[in-house]
Amino acid sequence: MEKVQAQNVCFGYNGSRVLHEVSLTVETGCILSLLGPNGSGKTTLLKVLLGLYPPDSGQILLEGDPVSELTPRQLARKIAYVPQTHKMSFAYSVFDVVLMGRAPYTSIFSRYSKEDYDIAMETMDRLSITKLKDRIYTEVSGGERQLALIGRALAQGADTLVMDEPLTGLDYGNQIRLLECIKGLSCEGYTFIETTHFPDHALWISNRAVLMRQGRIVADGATQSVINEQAISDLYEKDIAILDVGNGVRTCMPRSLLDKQASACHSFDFQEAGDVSHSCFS
Amino acid sequence: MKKSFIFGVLALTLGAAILLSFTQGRYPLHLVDLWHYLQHVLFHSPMADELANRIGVLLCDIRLPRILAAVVVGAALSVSGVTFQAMFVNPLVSPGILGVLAGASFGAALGMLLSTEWAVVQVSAFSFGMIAVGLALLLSHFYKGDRLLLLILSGVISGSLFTAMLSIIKYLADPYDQLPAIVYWLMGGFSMISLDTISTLAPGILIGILIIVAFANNLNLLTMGEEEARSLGIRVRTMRLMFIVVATLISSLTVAIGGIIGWVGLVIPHMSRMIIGPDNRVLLPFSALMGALFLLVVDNVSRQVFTVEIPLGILTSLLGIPAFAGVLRVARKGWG
Repeated sequence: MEKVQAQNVCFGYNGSRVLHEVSLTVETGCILSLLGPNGSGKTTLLKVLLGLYPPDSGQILLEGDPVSELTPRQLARKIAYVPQTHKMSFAYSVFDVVLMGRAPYTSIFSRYSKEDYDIAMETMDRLSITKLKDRIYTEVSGGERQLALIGRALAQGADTLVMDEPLTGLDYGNQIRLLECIKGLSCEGYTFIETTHFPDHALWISNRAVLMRQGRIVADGATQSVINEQAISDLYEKDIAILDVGNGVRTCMPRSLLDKQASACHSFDFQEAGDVSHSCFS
Repeated sequence: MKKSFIFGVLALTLGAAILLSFTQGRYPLHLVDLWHYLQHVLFHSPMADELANRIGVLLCDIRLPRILAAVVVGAALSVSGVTFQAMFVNPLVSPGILGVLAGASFGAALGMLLSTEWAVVQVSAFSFGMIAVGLALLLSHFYKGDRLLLLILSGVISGSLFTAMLSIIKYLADPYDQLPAIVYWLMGGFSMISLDTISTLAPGILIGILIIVAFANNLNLLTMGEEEARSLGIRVRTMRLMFIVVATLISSLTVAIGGIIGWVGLVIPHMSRMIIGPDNRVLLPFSALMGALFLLVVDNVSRQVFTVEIPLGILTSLLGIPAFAGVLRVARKGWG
């Protein structure tokens, strides 16, 4: 079934166009990875899909209904936003953050019912974060915060989760834990649309990959076919090798770092890596 | 400690403070006198008519309005402070952020220049408080970008404009009569309060506080940022506008009641958040009680400690600033 559909969506901020004629159909249960260089419009596309920004032309359909005709509350019950781990300024408890997911079900004065509390507790159980219940959200680890935000999304009752670089800032173990969690939830029927900077993550968990460049979708299809040497090398303007590590499992490696000769320091092109080396020292 | 317990303690303390405040003042009156008078009024127990009259006037016409004013204004300023701090997710924000106090000051001064009628001054103060914030809201719509940042900048512009216009009024005012009145009034205080004033304006404030408290959870969601709040089903623009209008309304009313009383709206929200946490559903009512208690105590001090009554606004600053400096060390609690 079609969960989310973008039809010829164009969008821009202050007159400069960010998305050009983007069309995309996301099926139920799919894990879609959105890849592309910085500034390619990934995050903007996510926000347009969420109905946060109305497109300049074209439309977004959610389970067949135009998003523009749904109220924010109706929308919130169907599609949830899991932002990049952010630093909230107020020290809410992890439970309070999860409970906020029940907001679209509360009355106008937003009193949570007993049922809302129960659902928030169940959700925490499901993600095995019950022990974090009374911890302060800003004081738990990045991985735990990300789980709390997923908990909030699940408490919303939404079955489509839109995640903006969910792995950014997490250590290796937490990245893997989060990917396992996403994969597990997808088996239960949840749909994921996420942006990522690592083609490997897409290869590990997603069954659909979309490549974006300068506000246009340049490739869209099954992850295994979309993520190939040619496409990834073109997308990031770097020579990337995709190695088969057995059983059809593949992984990306940058050729310049693989090749012992080329990775020797004397051949390192500082000119090209100018902004990188700059950021190392500043 | 359980939050409800802390709440109970605070509510009891406020109740006791209100009761004791009736006994505080130049004319000595003890709780026992209060008790006798109450029995006289309710059960017609014997009491000398002259004494009963005197106590009646003292309590109802002099002390009651002041106590009510301190309680209501203190609560309003801290609730409005909590609201703005949460909405802008910024610890430096106080009720005056969008220019309401500057506008109301100008309005009051203008009222004093044009009329000797006290009601005119109050209506003018209230109206210009609202106008100043309206101007800030209008200004912020002319620019594109981060809405909250633009609102703060527009508030600074609007506030500065009205401060400048206040200077013009001061310059034009009669230096022997009007100017001292304006300056004195801007220092804030309840020495001019009457039962009439407070019974007219207090209901508006109380309703405003109730509205904000009723929508407290929406305020929690707004602190998550515009996009997240929307994705959680909140109509962000509508909610934000509602909070701004109501918070401005109650701060304008406080100016109409007691002039500019500084620091309450900044210090009390911080102290309350440290004690009870950042959840606005609990924090808003709690800070209302805290603000009421604080201003009541300070007002008692202002009318007794010195031979001449010190304007309340001066005292709240003198007490608020060191208190704030003292808690600054732990002020980050409640903020992530």
